[in-house]
Amino acid sequence: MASQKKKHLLPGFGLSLGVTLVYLSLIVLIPLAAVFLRTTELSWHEFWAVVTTPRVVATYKLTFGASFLAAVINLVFGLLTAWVLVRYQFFGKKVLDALVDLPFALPTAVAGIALTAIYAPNGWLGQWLEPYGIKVAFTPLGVVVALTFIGLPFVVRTVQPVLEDFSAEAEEAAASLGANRWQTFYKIILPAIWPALLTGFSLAFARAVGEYGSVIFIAGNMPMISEITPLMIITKLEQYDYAGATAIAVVMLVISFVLLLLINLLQWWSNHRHGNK
Amino acid sequence: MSITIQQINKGFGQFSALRDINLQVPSGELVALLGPSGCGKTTLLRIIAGLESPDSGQVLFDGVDTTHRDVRERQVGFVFQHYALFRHMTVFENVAFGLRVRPKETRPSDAEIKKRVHDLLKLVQLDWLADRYPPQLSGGQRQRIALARALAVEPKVLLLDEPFGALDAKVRKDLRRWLRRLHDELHVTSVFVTHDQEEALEVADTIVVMNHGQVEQVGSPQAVYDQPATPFVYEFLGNVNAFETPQGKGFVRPYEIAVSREAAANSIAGALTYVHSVGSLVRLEIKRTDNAQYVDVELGREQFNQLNFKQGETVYLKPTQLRVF
Repeated sequence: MASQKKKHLLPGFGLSLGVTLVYLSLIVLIPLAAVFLRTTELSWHEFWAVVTTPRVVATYKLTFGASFLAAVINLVFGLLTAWVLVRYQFFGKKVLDALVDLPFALPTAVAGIALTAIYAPNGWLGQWLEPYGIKVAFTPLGVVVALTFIGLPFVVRTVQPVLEDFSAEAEEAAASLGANRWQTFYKIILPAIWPALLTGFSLAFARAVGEYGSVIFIAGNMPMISEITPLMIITKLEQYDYAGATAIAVVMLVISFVLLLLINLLQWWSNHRHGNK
Repeated sequence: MSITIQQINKGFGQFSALRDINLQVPSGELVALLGPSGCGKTTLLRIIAGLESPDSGQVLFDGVDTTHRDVRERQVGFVFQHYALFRHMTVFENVAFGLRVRPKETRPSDAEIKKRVHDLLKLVQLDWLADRYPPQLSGGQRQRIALARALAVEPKVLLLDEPFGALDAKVRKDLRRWLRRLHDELHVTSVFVTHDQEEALEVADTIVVMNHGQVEQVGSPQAVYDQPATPFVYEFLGNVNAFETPQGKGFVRPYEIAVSREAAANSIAGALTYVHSVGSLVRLEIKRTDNAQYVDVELGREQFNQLNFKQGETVYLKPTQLRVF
């Protein structure tokens, strides 16, 4: 008996894993591999030269920096939005709930144009900020605003169901043991929704890193100041510099992959520490 | 600490959950709030805890009005039906929670907390589980940890909401006895909610029978069982046969009926339709000849063996005790 293959309780493991691998290969792995392959047209030296030009390096900083900032903003306000939507009953709640998904549905170019119109120095909001020396449109700040906009639904939608499931009893138990509201939130609620928050954060971050349409309108695209990496790639493509474009894409891919892997590890670690699985 | 409930009313929208509740829980007693689901017993418990506030009326702890005091300041230990343990914390941290959240001035030192928690875990006989997480425990273990956690803050009053409701029969029985012993040891005023009459009868010093948001009867287990104050209490506690009598509705317990083969004055004839004989009692199901209603009768096994009734036989019944409302 000992020599027999270990039986899985759920049938169809081999088949479903096979289908999953083929599917992921077709949709994700092969296209991405093509990116790497294309890059091999360049020598190591050429590759390094392309991806480390000061103008390109400035775009990495802006893209990943602004994406991180936008994801952090979404983390805080997404949690607040989810909290309000789950915990309170008020007039127009359903409308507000539907509004959250709008950034998903809107073509990003439309979002970009709208945001630019509003935040331009003569726009609705821009004209009020201008006297205080705050420029949003055509600056890195504008990039953060656009990325925050398109990443809004992620944290809300990942945290919302977890908050809904969270039992009021645990909160009541904490209160009966003498915990104040802040202690209850910090020690009881936050740990429970932490994995969902982290997932929402990484989704918002990943989405922001790859964003193009909404950003190019509001960013102004000034070299060294408000250019994002996806724009650099498009620029190279327009100059028929395919190898150069893919080289930058490879760097982006690697950085994104490493960051997302780190977030996943963090999540795994926090789950494990709490003995969940 | 004694608890006094005065004229408590509570409604949810149109539904009136509690109506004019008056109740006195003497210090150190173990009291059961017993009733069918929806009778308001859990609402009453939550009002005592301060998790719910009454529409009118007062809750007094040792004669001091605490109606509007926050649950955080009431010093009550509350044990929830589904335990409500903090699943991301170890058993140790769960029990220590109430001590750790205290303001700096009154918070015990780490060494004291450690000692106190281990003492409590020993009390509930689960010291060896200190480093586990709640999802790794069985239902019975979780409930004992929930109890230890509630006791950690040295509550003046212990409140338990259907504490054994989610457990299987065997564990429930063990925990019941264990709770009784624990209470005898600690003597903290305790109120627990249950819909299980057997549980209430076995554990409580005093039973408060509730129905439709009102108190039907308060008394010792023996009093509420032997002298039910209302038809509802009669039917809710134990098996009972109801008869229509000229004076009103009559109630007879199955063991308060004499059965014989000979007719006597005022006896009722019936056919023995079923004999259920498992354990020390034999249960007879008898179909009345006059109105075809069924009557349950319980006999001791020896008595049954002597009489040796056969299924289908005609027998005559006579209540030895009858209460009419």
